[in-house]
Amino acid sequence: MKCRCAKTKKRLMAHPRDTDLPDDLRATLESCPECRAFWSRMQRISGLIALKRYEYPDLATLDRCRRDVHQRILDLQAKAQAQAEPVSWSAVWGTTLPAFRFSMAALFVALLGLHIFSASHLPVLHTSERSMAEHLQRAEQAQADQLAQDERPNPEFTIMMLSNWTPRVQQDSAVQFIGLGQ
Amino acid sequence: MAVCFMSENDKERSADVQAPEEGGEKDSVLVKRAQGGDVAAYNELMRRHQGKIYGLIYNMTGNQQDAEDLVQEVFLKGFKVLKRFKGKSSFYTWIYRIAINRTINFVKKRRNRFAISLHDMDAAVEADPAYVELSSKESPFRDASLSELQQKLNAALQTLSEKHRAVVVLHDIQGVPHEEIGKMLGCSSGTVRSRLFYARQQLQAELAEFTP
Repeated sequence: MKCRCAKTKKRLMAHPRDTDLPDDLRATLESCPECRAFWSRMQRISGLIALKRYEYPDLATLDRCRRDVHQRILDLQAKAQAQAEPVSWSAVWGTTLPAFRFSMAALFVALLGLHIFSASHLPVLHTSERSMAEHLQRAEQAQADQLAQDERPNPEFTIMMLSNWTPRVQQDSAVQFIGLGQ
Repeated sequence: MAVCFMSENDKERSADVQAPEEGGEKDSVLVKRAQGGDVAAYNELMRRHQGKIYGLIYNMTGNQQDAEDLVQEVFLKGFKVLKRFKGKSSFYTWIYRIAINRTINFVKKRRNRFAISLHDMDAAVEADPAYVELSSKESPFRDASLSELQQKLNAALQTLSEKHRAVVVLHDIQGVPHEEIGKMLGCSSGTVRSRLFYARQQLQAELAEFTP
């Protein structure tokens, strides 16, 4: 019988123990020295590695491990429970860190200052009728003042006219008269 | 101490891993109680499975202290995400999956600061057929000390990649069947067999002196 060793070796790997070898594989092993040697080496390797199962910790180590995990789980549960309970504002304020309380106070002062500053510098919006009337009145007064100013003689124009048809002495007097002299 | 992984053959070891409910309530009942916040129920689950989880992590890392820390992390993480456990697989498969993922991540991160720290082998090893054969008169290693053998086995195991090591530890040391390993690692049983094949070939090269 011709042995296809590579295929047999692969099949052998699926049956790591002697006890569960199928009959055809067992027959192949008996007839092929190469497969038999391979199987024998693999069995030895497997057996040697399996010796590591005799290395294990003592009971105290495992107990300590379990106790530590147990304690850590209890701590986790206590923490989760504390987070889930509703807390009043006063309690939070009382137990909060001083730095947080100081920050909150500083923020309040800053906001108050900003409010006062904006009230004195920003234009006030007049919404009431009274305010609107006052505003109109002030606008009319400003307009009247502007008109009155416009009716006053233009000093430059006056000087130009005087220089055209009055003698020099009279020009000086006129300049003094209209208030442009030094 | 009751040893979780010690039995005569693979089938027995598989049964040992698959049936950890030593009387009392079933795992599924304890899981339901633990999902409701019962810490005592989770403690019982931990007691049942921590030996195997410890064994897996210890053999993956080769360090006692790392194994202790990781076991704690795994069970703590397990409790935190227990509400997401739908019961599609057994609790032990689920917690194994967490343990494997955590351990593989850990081993990848600590690659450059690796230190071996081993437990002593139990005296029962001297009755094991593999050890008996090794220490027989015909063997060239009959005078090799147990600690020497232990060191070499660990060193050989640590040369494997994380995924190959996980398969070897689960199958050869803990006796978990291929299909179950596939579920834990999220791959097919064919992939598990293939990894086992390559891992053993590599181990054979590393341990050539023990397999003349």
